[in-house]
Amino acid sequence: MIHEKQRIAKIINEMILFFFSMGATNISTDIRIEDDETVITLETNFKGNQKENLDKLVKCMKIPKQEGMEEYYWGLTGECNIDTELSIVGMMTDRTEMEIKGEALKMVLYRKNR
Amino acid sequence: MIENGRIIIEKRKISNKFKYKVLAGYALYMIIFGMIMDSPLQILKGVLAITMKPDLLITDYISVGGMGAAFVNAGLLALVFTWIIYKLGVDVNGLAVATISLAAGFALFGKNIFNVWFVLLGVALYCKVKNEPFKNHVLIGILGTAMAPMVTQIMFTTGHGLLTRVLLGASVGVLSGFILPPLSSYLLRVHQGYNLYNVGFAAGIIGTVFVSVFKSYGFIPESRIIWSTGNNLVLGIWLGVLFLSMLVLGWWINGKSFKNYSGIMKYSGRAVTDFVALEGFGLTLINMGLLGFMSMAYLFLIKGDINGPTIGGIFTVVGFGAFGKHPKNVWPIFAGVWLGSITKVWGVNDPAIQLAALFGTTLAPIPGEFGPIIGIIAGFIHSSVALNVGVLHGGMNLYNNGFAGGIVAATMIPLIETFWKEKRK
Repeated sequence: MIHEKQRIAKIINEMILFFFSMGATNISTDIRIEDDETVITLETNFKGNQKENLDKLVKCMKIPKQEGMEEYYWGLTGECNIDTELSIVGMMTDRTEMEIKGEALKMVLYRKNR
Repeated sequence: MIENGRIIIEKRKISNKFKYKVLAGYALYMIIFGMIMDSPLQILKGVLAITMKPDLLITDYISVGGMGAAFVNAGLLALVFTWIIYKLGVDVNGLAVATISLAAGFALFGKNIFNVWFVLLGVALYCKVKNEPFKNHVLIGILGTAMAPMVTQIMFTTGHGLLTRVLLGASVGVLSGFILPPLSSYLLRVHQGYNLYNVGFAAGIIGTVFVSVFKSYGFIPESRIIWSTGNNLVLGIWLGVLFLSMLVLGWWINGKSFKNYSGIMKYSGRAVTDFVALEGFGLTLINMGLLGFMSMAYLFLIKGDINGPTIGGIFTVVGFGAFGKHPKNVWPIFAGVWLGSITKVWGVNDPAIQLAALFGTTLAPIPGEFGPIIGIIAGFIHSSVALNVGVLHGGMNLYNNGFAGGIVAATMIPLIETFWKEKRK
């Protein structure tokens, strides 16, 4: 797969922009490239009731991995100032874990290496 | 609602079999209609006429080969493409539905069972060279058959010997397919996904470069309008049955209800908005059926024609009803093109303007994101650009409106984003 590293960076970019839209002021990321998969851990705070955004996030992460869509559309992630591309992130990842504690969110995205 | 705690988000399971049957069923519906309309001999002669002539914009196959041949060609092509993606194991997502729908529509005015394979071969060659699975690029390859007229134009109209013409035409087709995947993916960033027919944008640029080179060697592309009229009743009924079946099938899949349909209208439609993945196949079919009726209603209101090119336009609106379009983000584009025709030098039912309205909905994400007023402005500008850019690619890119839409979106979006005050959604 070409641009593999850029794709990982774009996923993180998209997630950070999404967290900003939830009022985040403290975001940390961790990338671990293992033999068979890349593990991206993101931790953020958010402000107020973010039910709509969190529901949207879960809905998009449920979208099955689709390599064909990724090949074509990955460049759009993390680019737009106004809209999100969370569904592409869903298509680019194999599984997701999420943890919420009050106004703090931790996400772990798993992406198989090719 | 997500409560405090830890969850593992499971990926939704995709079931493709039924969706493939639906796609194949609609392709068969076209073939059967074609076979009813003409005798087998007429169809055979018509298909030969369609395949052995140039296919520049606008070439209505109903005029060239007759109603039977046009629909058999379209149905066959849709069926073969459906079979190819089925065999490759492509998931039937919104883009797959849109792709097959576009293939069927454009096979009524430019794509045929002969001219599409060279571009597709070029995409396959790209996959071979880059060691990429063809499965991942086949949809872009099928969409890229918008450049098929380049092949037939060179094969059938240039003044060289037969072998030279065939080799040159085939080479140009393969080369254009070979460069399409990286180019189309890159060009998405230019308009940020606000132009849904991005392959049309890429094909327009490729076509412009090729035609510029051709012109340097004295080739002058002809302009043509082959446009059938007088079939509104029979084709209107045929389309009405098709869209009604989508509504009924969608209603049935959605638990015999239209529940949650309004959820679709909440999306801006910007790429990637895959309604099949986000809202399910049932609601997607309902959306597609509604868009079909809406597009037909627009054509009837402006006293337009239902023929090969406009059915292609309607199928494009309907197909992208699985991938970003819905009535709320489509109507402002219709309104913008219609308003433009009041003040500009052309009539609302001139052939190119009928097509500009239907295909102009490539810009539907703009009203979807920024509201109807900006959407109307986008439609207003689009009709002018669409009528002006065809000369650049000499009509050899069938998705002329995708090319124009890319230019309009690339011009409008940076300006809107600079002055838009709303936060990121």
